[in-house]
Amino acid sequence: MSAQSSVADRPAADERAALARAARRRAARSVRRYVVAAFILVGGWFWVVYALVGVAVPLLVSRAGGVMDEGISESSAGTPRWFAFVLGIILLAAALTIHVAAGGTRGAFTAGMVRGAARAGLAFGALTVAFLTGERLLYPALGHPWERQAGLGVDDPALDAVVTFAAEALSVTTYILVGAAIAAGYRRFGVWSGTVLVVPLLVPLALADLATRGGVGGLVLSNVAPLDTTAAGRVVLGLVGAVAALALAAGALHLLVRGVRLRPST
Amino acid sequence: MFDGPEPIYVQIAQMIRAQVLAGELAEEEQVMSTTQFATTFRINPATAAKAFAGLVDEGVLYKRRGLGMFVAPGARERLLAEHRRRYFDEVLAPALAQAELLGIPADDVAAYVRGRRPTGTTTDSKERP
Amino acid sequence: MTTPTPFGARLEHVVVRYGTRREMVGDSTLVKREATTALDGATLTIRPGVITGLLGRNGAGKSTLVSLLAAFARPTSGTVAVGPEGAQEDPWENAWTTSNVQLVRESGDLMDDEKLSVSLDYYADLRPHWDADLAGRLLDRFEVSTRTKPGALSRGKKSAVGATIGLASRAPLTILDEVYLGMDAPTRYAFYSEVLADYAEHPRTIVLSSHLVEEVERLFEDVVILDRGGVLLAEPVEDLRARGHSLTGPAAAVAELTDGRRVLHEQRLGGTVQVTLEGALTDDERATARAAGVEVGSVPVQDLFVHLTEPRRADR
Repeated sequence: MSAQSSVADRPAADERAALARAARRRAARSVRRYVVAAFILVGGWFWVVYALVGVAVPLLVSRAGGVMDEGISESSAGTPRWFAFVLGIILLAAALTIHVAAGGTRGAFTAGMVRGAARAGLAFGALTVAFLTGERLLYPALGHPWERQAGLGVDDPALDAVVTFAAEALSVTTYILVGAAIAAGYRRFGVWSGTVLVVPLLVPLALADLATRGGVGGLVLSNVAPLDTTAAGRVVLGLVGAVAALALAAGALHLLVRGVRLRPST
Repeated sequence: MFDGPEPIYVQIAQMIRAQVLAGELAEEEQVMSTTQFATTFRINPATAAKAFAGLVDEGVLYKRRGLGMFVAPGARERLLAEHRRRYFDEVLAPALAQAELLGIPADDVAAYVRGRRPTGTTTDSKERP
Repeated sequence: MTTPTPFGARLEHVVVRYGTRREMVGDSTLVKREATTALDGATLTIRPGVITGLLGRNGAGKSTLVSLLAAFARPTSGTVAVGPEGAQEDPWENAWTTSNVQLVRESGDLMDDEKLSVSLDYYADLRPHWDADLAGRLLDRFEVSTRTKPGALSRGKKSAVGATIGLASRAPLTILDEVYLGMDAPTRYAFYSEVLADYAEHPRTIVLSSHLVEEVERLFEDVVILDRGGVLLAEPVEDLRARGHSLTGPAAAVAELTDGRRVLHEQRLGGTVQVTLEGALTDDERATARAAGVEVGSVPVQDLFVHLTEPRRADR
């Protein structure tokens, strides 16, 4: 009588809770791995190309007998951040449906997204420091001037590397989460309301840029309002601002993802 | 398969009874498991199980623990007896009622039955080579 | 791995409305109106450990109903509870139920631009009872390569992938929503056989929605018919079969037997009439029919389904 339901032991409430915790953990881990894998693959290519441009352009300019006004890191300010932002949009769009269909909760999706984005942010932070260090060494050798306008203006190179790493890691994580939140907004509210939501969702990005004086927003600010507080004050304010931006982005993603419905397919 | 008006489990039971009667399923022979039956005929296993359970109650099949279902010893004989008993009620009685309705005298019916009994070949087609 | 306890489900007074639309009324003010009501006060129970057929015309609310069980969506009002008997919970954002409920939709819910193996790995990672061997065997049988991208699969192959995910997840509640679409007949039959074989070996609750009623009705133990957002009936399929019968015979004799009963369908061929009637006949009535030369037959579930959900029947 195989069709009859077996009267197996029903899991007691705490056993169910333990199974639920395990399920959430598995689900969040899968999202994290997916995000990390995408950043290793696509992000890896981005950095290979970005590094090639960063080396090739000053080489070609000096071969042609010219002089660079500023480093690629300055003239292409914010490119890694926007790349991370776009990947954030794509990752949510690609993974949220299969995640829910495979039995993952929306909460676990957000948790995994935040963890994956944080790892990607750390990697981008380290790569940004490496890129800047490379330029700092390459440009004098080629006879180009090199000066960093963006950033929090720490003079000591070692300390600057640490601060830049932290600021970039926080900002890139924020960009990824805002990208994902915008995609979630479209999923949840459709085209019109989703587009309206883009505007408030850009607030964390602006905050991250302004606080860390990085990206496009940082470039604008450094031209308009030169640094005037002490270096210590700038660093503290900058990192606190970046953490606040990240918290805002994560909160927005959580609020938007938790209500997403998968509409019946047509 | 199983397109008749009765519920499917009734039709399944009828099919197995017919196979036992015809000797296609010998006594002590194993019958298909519920699962095999369900997948072969693409029916719900519960439906097949219901048919088998009914046949166990009737004594046509019996269950060997862990092995499966087998045709019960004496099942064919019991089914034959059962069918013989029901033959008069279910086959002959309506035929006689019909004869009465058509005004065929009972003697004619009896003569017809006796007439064909000696050889069973008095009616046309079977005589031809 | 032991087979988990099958899940059942219960819906009470469930209403689902999608979106709002703005409408101009007389004095040119905008009024918000609910655009579509997919479910309108649905109440039903899905028994654990049973294969239930979910039938309904297009737009009757089948996909909406199953999307609630898998927490793809949330009801506008009413309650949904899913779980083993005695421990049913609201599935929304409930990791315990969602990890044990597998809904396979016709769209497949795969990553279209990644190799199929990426999507399957995702399901394997999240599903606590996933059977990788079964998944591999089924994909071989359906002749689908895991190296293909789902976006490049034909509709039938995509359905085969959906069937594979539905079975390999071994979820205590598995819902297959029209997953046969695009499959050719031999593949569909193979799919039905695989469902039954795996169900017999690993008892669980399976909900199967389909338009091909005559092909799948024997797979069901229970049947639910939705009609225009409501539950028309939810009962064992044997009870549904008993809901109607056909009478075939001379017009006058049939008319006498039909008297006072609801006629679902009538067909006339010369002096012979065939009617489909609602309800069962008593033994006496059967005897009367036989005596009058009227043949009593059963009505295929498909026909009952069509008659019961006839658009002009506004009296449900």
